[in-house]
Amino acid sequence: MSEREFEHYLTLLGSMLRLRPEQRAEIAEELQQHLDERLQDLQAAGLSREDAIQQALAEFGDAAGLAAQFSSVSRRRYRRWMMRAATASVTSAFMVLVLFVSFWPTGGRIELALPTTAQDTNPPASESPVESADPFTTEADLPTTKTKSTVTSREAKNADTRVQLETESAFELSDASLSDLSLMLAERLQHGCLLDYRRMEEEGVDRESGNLNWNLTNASLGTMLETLLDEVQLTYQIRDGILVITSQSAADDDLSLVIYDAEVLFSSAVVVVRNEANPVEEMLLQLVQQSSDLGKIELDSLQASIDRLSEKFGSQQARMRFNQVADLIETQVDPNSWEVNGGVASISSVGNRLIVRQTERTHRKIRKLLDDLAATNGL
Amino acid sequence: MADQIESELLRGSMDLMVLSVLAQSPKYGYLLQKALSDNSQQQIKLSAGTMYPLLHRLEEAGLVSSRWDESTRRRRKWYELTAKGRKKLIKQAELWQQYANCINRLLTEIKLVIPTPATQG
Repeated sequence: MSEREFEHYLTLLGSMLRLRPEQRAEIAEELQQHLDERLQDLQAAGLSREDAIQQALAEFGDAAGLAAQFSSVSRRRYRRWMMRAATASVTSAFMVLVLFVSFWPTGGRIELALPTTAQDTNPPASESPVESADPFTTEADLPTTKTKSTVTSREAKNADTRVQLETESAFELSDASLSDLSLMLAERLQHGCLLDYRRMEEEGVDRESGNLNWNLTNASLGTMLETLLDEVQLTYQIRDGILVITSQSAADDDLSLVIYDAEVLFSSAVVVVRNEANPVEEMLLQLVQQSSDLGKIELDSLQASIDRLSEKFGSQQARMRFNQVADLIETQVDPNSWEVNGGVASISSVGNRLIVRQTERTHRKIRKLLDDLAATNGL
Repeated sequence: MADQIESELLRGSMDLMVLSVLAQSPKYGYLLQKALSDNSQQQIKLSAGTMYPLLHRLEEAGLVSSRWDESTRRRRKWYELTAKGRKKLIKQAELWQQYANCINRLLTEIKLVIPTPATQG
């Protein structure tokens, strides 16, 4: 029983030492030798082995306190965060996300089983990956080709960082300062992390302040970041891919513009529209098929009418859905931050894209909402 | 604030105690603990839980050095004062003496303590 306790103590202590494995082993051995020696002396003094163990352990103090002291020595040593990360799992999770993100617009389009009649006026748009093959919304598509290279590289960097913030990994922070946190993030994020000292100081927050602790293993980097920054009443922005830790007011002053390709959100819904809710088109299609005596020209002009009607009907449907999404976002995600409710953030739509000016944190919530909606085909 | 000063004071004095005991000869943890207890006529009992983190801290600061001794039946980690540690000890001892004298004078002023010859340190 007591023997067990002895071993338990050492195991517990070892597990609580937030140190590199070799340091941990060395400390454990040193302490074990001490305990053994003390045990021997106590037994030599006439105590039973069990009593000796009890006393030796009592003298040592509780394992948690001891582990904390050693960890604090180590903290002074490095003045930086300590972290154990399952690098392999992070990398693979990241790759999966990258794949997912790069493929999803295509996936959305594939869903649209377009009738050939409609596609004739719209050759498959293969020249641009963002252009839609959906005839209902093509007219409203953004002409993105001209400014693409600069916008894409900057936006792509921002997107990288946003994706990386969603990676889950096991990491530990022990009594870390904001500098420690930013160092840790700089290592984890491809485009780096900065502290906006000037704006932080305006809020009276020092870079060495903070007593940040974290040891959840299944949370995303973003969740950790937001939880820890809440403690010191700071927030973050993403600029040119760089994660910038800054004050709340700085973030409100300089909103991020994010263009959401909401097509994926509607793809399945649009299919439903075509199959069920476009009686005009169906009627006309039937008419074409049945009118074998119609001449070629009339057939063509009928076809054009069908396309026009389909397009109009479709884009109206799309417009309605975008408005729905906009309303949903404005009422469900930080309602008071939106212009319509007296805030500074705004939302508008062009084609099948939502253009949202918001803080990075709210963008994160919007992404979650849209992802959830897409996952459940919620519209 | 008062707590902070107190704990700083305590930590400072513990450093001083450990450094002074190591100044006599290199020691491993268990031996150091015993020496401290013996030298202070059992007045100072530094728990292992306090002593080891402290030793590691002193080592990090370059005031003591350590090495594992494999020659005995039991593997032991010996600690030794470095040159830097010795300098630090001398300086700290002076400071401590000044501080103690200062406190003593203050207390003597208000007749809370009667000056006594310093006990062996």
